[in-house]
Amino acid sequence: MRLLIRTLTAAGGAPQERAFYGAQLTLGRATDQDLPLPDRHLPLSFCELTADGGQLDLRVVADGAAFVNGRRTRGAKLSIGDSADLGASRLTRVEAPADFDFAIEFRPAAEVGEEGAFGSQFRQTLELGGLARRGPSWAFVGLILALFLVLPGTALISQDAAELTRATPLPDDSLWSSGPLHTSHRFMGNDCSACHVDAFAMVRDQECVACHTSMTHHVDPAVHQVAEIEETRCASCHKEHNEPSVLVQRDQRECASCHGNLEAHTDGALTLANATDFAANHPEFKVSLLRDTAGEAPWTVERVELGAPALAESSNLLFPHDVHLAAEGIEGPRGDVTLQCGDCHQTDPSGAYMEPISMEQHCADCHLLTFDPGMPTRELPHGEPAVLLPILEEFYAKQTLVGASLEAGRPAYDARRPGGDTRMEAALRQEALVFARQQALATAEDIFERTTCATCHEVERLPESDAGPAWHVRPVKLAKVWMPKSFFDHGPHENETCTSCHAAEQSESAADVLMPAIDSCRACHGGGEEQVLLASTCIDCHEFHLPQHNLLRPEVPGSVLRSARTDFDRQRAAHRQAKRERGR
Amino acid sequence: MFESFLTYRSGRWFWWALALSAVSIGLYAWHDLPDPPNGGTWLGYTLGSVAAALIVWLIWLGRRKRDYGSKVGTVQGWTSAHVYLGTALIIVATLHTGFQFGWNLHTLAYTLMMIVILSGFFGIWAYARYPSRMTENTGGKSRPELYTEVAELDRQLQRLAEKGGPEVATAVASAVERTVVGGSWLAQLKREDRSEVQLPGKGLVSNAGMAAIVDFVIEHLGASRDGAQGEALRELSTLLGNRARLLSRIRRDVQLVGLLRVWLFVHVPVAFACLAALTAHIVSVFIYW
Repeated sequence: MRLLIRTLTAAGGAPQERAFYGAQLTLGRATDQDLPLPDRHLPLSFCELTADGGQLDLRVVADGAAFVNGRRTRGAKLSIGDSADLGASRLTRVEAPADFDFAIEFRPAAEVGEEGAFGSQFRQTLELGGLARRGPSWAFVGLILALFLVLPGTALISQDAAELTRATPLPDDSLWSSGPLHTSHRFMGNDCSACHVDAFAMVRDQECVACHTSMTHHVDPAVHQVAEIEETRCASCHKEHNEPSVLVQRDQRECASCHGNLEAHTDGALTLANATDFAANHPEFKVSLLRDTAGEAPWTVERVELGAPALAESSNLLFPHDVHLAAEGIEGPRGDVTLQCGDCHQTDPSGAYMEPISMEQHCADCHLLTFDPGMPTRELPHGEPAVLLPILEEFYAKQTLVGASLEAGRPAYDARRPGGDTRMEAALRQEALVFARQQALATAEDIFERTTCATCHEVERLPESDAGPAWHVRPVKLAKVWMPKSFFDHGPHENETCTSCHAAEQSESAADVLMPAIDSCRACHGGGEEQVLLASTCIDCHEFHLPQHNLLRPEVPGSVLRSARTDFDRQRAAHRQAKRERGR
Repeated sequence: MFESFLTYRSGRWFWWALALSAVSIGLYAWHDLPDPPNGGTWLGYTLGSVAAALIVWLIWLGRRKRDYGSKVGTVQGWTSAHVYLGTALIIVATLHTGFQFGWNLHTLAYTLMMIVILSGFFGIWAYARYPSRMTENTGGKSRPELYTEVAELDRQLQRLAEKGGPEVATAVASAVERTVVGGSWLAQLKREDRSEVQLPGKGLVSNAGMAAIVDFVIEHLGASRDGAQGEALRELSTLLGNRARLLSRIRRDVQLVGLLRVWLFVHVPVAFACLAALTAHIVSVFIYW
């Protein structure tokens, strides 16, 4: 095409005209363009003019747009009179003179102020360099809310959504876990809803006792209404998701908050002494003593403080520990023996407590129940005083009738003399029986009142009746657990000697209570804040959930022991069943 | 600026922040609970509430500083409080965690908060360090003034280049028009010079530091037998060298301004990310109470 370019000068001088011959006219900021546009805001190569039949075609080849007759465009056909604004420069098609196909009038951008504008072509700010604040801010907000709140939150809507997010790499509600579960609870895996049943509600006790079915109360709500305890949730003390994971509080301050002033907390209903610290504030131990009341409920329990004047065991047994533990030994049927504590006192299989003492197991080796020096192998039965006299009578009757010495086979009274008459025989037999009874009574009196029985038992002679003399051996009952309100484990104490706690070597009487007083324990055990001794807090000896109380059933106020499963148990079981079936 | 917001009213906010930190640490040391320290204890909730309120308020600075009609303190005072209380937030929020961290939303919120605070520290450091360097670099001139100098040089270059022959003139014009300052944010911060020049026989080549065009002019100078042309070329190379130094200074200015502000592009978006994570943290903690 033949194009006339008439450039108008900024100063308003005469226009400069030049001819252009070519297929297309390039326009742009670069000097290699056919028509350079002295405008720093425009690209190096901005647009092209081509002849299209009788039309002049303007096409923008870079970013941006031209404004043809004031309208934004990226391509337009220019008719005569049309003007196109290219940045600050203006291009107007005018009537072409002879010898030209087209003519344009070009008014370049004003050069005034170009110096200041020179720099504006560059991307010199971080924003122009591709950084932004607003966009990324919104993106972050959206992303974080979606990934960490909305998606995990689907678990609240349905179990299926919960299982979908948990089974896939999608963010699930485990992202909300503030710490690992205690090892004993890890079997639940990532099923948050096992405990967190209702959104925006604290974990309920129902979820705890659904598994912990044998957990009991601290205070029997039927007896004492203690608000502090009834309003306290399991999770108030048993805190999960902590590091380090401590599920059972050893701290005694929680205990002390009530037990420091029990009277105030129970309206004086409890007579329990206050205690706040084992070393600093703990009452002397009390033991549960058995009392022989000889009534219908023969044994009652009396709590007596160690060191109290009334402290005397009344087991009805006569037993001097000192004699048995004498260093030089004690006379036994087979010679002298030196006894150790462990010969009689042995721990139960758990190693914690002592097995009960029994005559047959622990005493009978030495304390033979023989009654006739001539018959050292013959022993009386233990524990059945009522049958002893008949047994003795039978024994001596046979002896008199058959033989003084059964082994020798020679009768004391020969009742079968040849030729003897039967009257004589009967009289002799009668005499023998009388003799036997006398012998039996003498022996009985001896063992009941002086030797065998009387060695260990308190025996009273009953008033003589027609049936002859009778004795009452007072029943023996030994304490199985002296301090049932706490627990004690002999196991960890096995490096101590028995006598370092139990003053058995000095005990002359079975009435002595050989349980150690609190000071004995305090020799090694300090209080909860102890720095030197073994720091010992309440739950080192005392349980919180007391086994003698009712089961925790928080859905039933007052905790009624129920053998049937709770509604919650049933719901849970149904849920598990449904889950299993879906899994199939 | 640097002196002023840090020492605003004798460091009033410094003392407030110190007091807040001291009280938080004191309470943390004094409170002795049965359980491991945790955001869910009474002190945990207290510290958490204070920290959450602080975060919201700190983010509010972005709103306040655009609120020119506000009478609630001065922007300078707000900035001072923003810096000091933001620093105290490290203490308050860390104690709120009870030093329990894990791969969870809660630690994410904490981490984002720490990124925001640390980027803010970089900002303080940048404001202490770069303004003086900027003045030193530009000799107190504004950037438009520098560009006016460049334009003036370019006019001289154009006149001289015409005397140096058509090839030189075209090349110099090309070098001028293909000069690049700045670019991507990374290029700005790295002070990259992506200028190019169209040279006969070589095509489009890098003209970083105007080196290519200066070499080209000197080449022509060597080949020149014309005294007047030689003189023009010599002068031209000197002017090109001046132009290179001037542009280098502008690029350094762009770099310094970038360094002064780049932390904001971390500070602000991550602050909003932190706000979102904080929201999710609070909501989720009470969903699974």
